[in-house]
Formats: sequence, C-alpha cells, structure tokens
Amino acid sequence: MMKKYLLLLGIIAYFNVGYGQGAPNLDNYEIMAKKKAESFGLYIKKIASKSTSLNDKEIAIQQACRLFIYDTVRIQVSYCPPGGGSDVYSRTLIKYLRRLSLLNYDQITIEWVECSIVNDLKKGEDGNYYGIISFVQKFRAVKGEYVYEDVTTKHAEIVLKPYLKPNDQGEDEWKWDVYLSNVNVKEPCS
Amino acid sequence: MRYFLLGFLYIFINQSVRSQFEDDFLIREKFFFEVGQIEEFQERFNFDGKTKLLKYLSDEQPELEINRKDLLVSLFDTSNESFDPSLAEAFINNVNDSINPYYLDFYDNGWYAEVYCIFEYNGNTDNGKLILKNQFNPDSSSKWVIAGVSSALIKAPDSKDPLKTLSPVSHGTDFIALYDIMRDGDNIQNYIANDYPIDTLTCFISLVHNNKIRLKQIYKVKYHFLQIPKWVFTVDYFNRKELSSGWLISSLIRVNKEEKKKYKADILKIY
Repeated sequence: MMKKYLLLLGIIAYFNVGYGQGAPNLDNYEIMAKKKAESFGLYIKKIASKSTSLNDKEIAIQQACRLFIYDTVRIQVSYCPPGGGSDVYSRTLIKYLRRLSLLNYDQITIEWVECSIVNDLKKGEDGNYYGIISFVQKFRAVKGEYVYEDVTTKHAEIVLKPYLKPNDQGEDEWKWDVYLSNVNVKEPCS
Repeated sequence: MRYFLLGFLYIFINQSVRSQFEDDFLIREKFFFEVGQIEEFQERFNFDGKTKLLKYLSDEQPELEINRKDLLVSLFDTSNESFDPSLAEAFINNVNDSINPYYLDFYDNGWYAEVYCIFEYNGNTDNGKLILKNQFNPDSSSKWVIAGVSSALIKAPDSKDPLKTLSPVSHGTDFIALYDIMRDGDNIQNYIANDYPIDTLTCFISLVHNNKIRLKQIYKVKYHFLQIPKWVFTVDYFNRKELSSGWLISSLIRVNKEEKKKYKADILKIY
C-alpha cells in the first residue's frame, strides 16, 4: 500500500515539475523531454505495425500528435538513396504518420542508443522556452522477406510552455508543459 | 601545420580502442564525436566543459588531457585538401591567444545561416538562398529572422511591351500618365529607373504576402561567422560516417574591414 502511495507521489512529481517564475531549469525538464521523445518512438512502432488495427492506428496517430506542440510541425528526413549522395524530404507530422500507417511491417524494433539535450534553453518572443534534443535510434523493420534497417540521428525541437496552476495553498504557481516540435532525421551517408 | 601532420586527436583515440568494441559502441561514439548542432560547434570552439564530447571523454578516457587547441583543430573538415594548414594554424593561434582570446556566443551579432532552398514561383522552380540571423531582444528573448534572399525567380517582372514608357514631356501635364501606369502592372519595369537597385527582400516579402512563392525544399544549410576580427569562416554539415562529421569549418579566409563588408554584400546580400 505504502509502495503504491510513494509511486503515485513520484508520478505526480514527475509530471508537475514546478519552477517558480523565470526561466525553467534544464535538469528538471530533461527527463520529461526524453520521455516524450521515447514515447514518439513507441507510437511509430505501433502505427507502422501490421498487427495494429486501423482503428488503433488512428488512435495512436492522435496520441502521438498530442506529444507535439501542433500536428502541423514538420518532420524532415535526410536519407541516402541507393545511387549515392544524400536526399531530403519534409512532411507535416500528421502526413508523416498517416504514410507510416500504410507500411504494415510484420515486425519493428526501435532501439535507443544515445540521447542528449542542448544545454541552453532559449527564450522565444512568445514567452515559451526552446531547446533541442538529439538522439540516435536503430530502426529495424521486417515485411515478409524484406528487412529494412537504419541508424539515424534525430534532432527535435522542444517547447516549454508556461502555465499557471494553483498549489495546495491556492496560490498560482508557474509550471511548464513540455512538447516536441519540428524533427530533423539524419542518416549518415558514406 | 603540426596539427594536420599529427592528425586528429579523435582519430588516434578511435584507432587505439576500436577493436574492443561492437556496433553499438561505435554508433554511440560517433554520436558524441559528431558536431550534431551548431551550439555544440560553439561550445567546442569555446572549450566549454559542458559540451557532450568533453563529458564523454572525461567518462571514457579520463587520462586524456585535452586543451582548447585540440578542440579547435577538430572543428576543421580535414577532408578538404584545399585548406592551407598555416592559415588554419594562424587562426587557431589568434583565437586561442593567451591575452586576448576570442569566443563565440549564440547571441553574437555577425553570424548568419545561409539556407539553400528550392522555390516555386508561377510554375517555375529555381534554387535560391535565404540568409537568416538571430535577433536578440531587450527582454532576453530571441528569434531567427530573414535578413537576405537571393533567387533568379525574385526579380522585377519583365515587361510585356518594352516600348510603353512615360513620355519625355510628361512633366508638361503634371505627370497625368501616372494614373495609367498604376494600372499597367505588365510593364511596370519600364517606368522604373534603370539604376534602381532591386531590393530582393522587399520583393520576397510581397511575393510571400500574396502567396505567389512557395518553398519546396531546404536541401542545405551553411553558417557564416564574421564576428571574429580579421577572419571569416564558414561551417557546413558533413553528413558522413566518420567521427569527424557534423558541423565543421569548411572555409577560412583572412580579411580586413573592407573585405568583410564586401563579403557581407557579395556573398550574403546584406547591405
């Protein structure tokens, strides 16, 4: 019982990190940003999987979009075409996820290798704070005989949006919601 | 010269330990060595202890002694054989001067992003460039703003009838013909002074405002650093599997004040 209570307290503290007024503290939001980026990977896995029903795919797309500040943010992918060189395409998040849902892979593995956050948060004119999270992922997808594998570095903008929430004493306190924003995916070419 | 002959610090590290490690280690190592963000470039340039490479090395190779010079050397793209090693060494010695060193700050004036784009206008596509700079506000907020643009598509429109002009005696009627000119958009170029410099950024604003131009693709970004006295250098993203990858110095020139001003006007189209 005590364990459950402590766990509940931990979860509440985790999702409601208060910072007082002024700039948010990087250490406090870092874990939340990483968690959101990780969740995005899990949704990708679900959306592209053959075993997910159409209805569940649609729900997963909506849930994945909620990790982001808007569903119109862009995903830009730099990839290495077979003929050599490097190419780029860019889609809005919602279009990217809908295309992904058509792939229907038999099996998908997404493995996080490393992750880091750019140290300094920057204040935007809108009062939000902005940072960048970079992570390397190994992606492996199987469809029948076909196996697709890549190792990409993803750079995602992080948006910290302030909001006021009353504390136990009924006084308003500044809190920060963390959202993902535009994502740049880079596959290193030889 | 010495630095280039000796090779890079991280090449040495990599070769000395590679045999012991598997795939994941190499991917992880690449992640830490690659200059993944322009802020990381600035951190390494400044020998800032919080940069991810230094944190990584202090965990993995605590016996290694690294100084600012080592990091500055590692910021050059060594695959570029046209680099003059003596010029690079002079630059490194200059910025790492013991009495008057130079550092980069994200909020500095004098550094610009050159964004290579494909634009679409009136059914035609063309390559172009947008120049952006970071604008710092008194309330400590900042934003990237467009400071210049260049594209063959962004120009004054060609006239349909080159013979339609204001007559040489328009003054005699208090320029009444101007009423017609304002309705003659197809030939507006004929009525403009031929020594008038076309302000492409103003044209661009108008085209975007009227939904006439579309950005089809961004295919490359390059940064220009002009804030260090007597030097201009560019930083490109090297998308490759080697450890020496990411944002690295791709060109370096020594300039005087006039040449720097000319660089801004000629290369960046900022006046």
